[in-house]
Amino acid sequence: MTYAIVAYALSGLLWIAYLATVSARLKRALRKK
Amino acid sequence: MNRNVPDPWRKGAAWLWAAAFVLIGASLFAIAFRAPVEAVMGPVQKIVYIHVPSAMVTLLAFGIAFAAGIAYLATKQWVWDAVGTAACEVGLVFATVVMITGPLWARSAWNTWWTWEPRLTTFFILWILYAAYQVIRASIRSGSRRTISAIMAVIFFVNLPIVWKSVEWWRGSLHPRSVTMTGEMRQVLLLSMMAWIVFFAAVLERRLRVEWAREASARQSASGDADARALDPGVRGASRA
Repeated sequence: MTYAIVAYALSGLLWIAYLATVSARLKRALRKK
Repeated sequence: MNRNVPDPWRKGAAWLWAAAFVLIGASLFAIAFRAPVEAVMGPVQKIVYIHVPSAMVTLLAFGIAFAAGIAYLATKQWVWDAVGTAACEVGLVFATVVMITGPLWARSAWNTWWTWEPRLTTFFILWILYAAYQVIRASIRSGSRRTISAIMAVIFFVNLPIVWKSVEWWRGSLHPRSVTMTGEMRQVLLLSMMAWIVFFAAVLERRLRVEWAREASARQSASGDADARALDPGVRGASRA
């Protein structure tokens, strides 16, 4: 049970972190214009 | 926002995100409450519902990168390079999810976090290759960046069928070939797969928009007037963004 929760939590965090970097990069690229 | 991004596209992306969130919510609910608890392994088996769809989407992403690589080499249109690099990067994140969830499952199933059996080893090589793609692409600042990226996406794809077939080709493979499941488990897995495919499409679109914005700003600084040179995916490599 613990492993399952850890697996889901880590995957969720990884996605949130990745999407945050994509959003930040997009903002930066748009500001350059 | 970026006026070079056409409006219908933006609307489509919003719908895609809405569908992804609804489907992911539904699949998480189904995983928690609908999928039965497996008799031998218990609740840990439920890791399979993100592990398998993530692995599937990883292969899909690198397959798209392969096709985009060939398309770029054939046409030299920047849009194929954008698709290829976006697919490689998003695919790597999915591959990382597979690499995180796999050992957590294996600790319960095999009593070890990691073992050098065929599927794990070939997938690990796959992860290294596409991580190398990111490093190599980022380190090239010349005009050949796009061509080299496309060539890498094509060459690295060779490992994909090996990962796919590894459970059949080598004896002594521990990794399950296909999961024997009850009807309910299968339904939940299918729902999760659908959710992850739609989520992948949404993330890919967002990542693609970064490339779009970079290309637009590179062309603007090259010409000094963005509107005079509207962003046309067909225009041949105008920038080194």
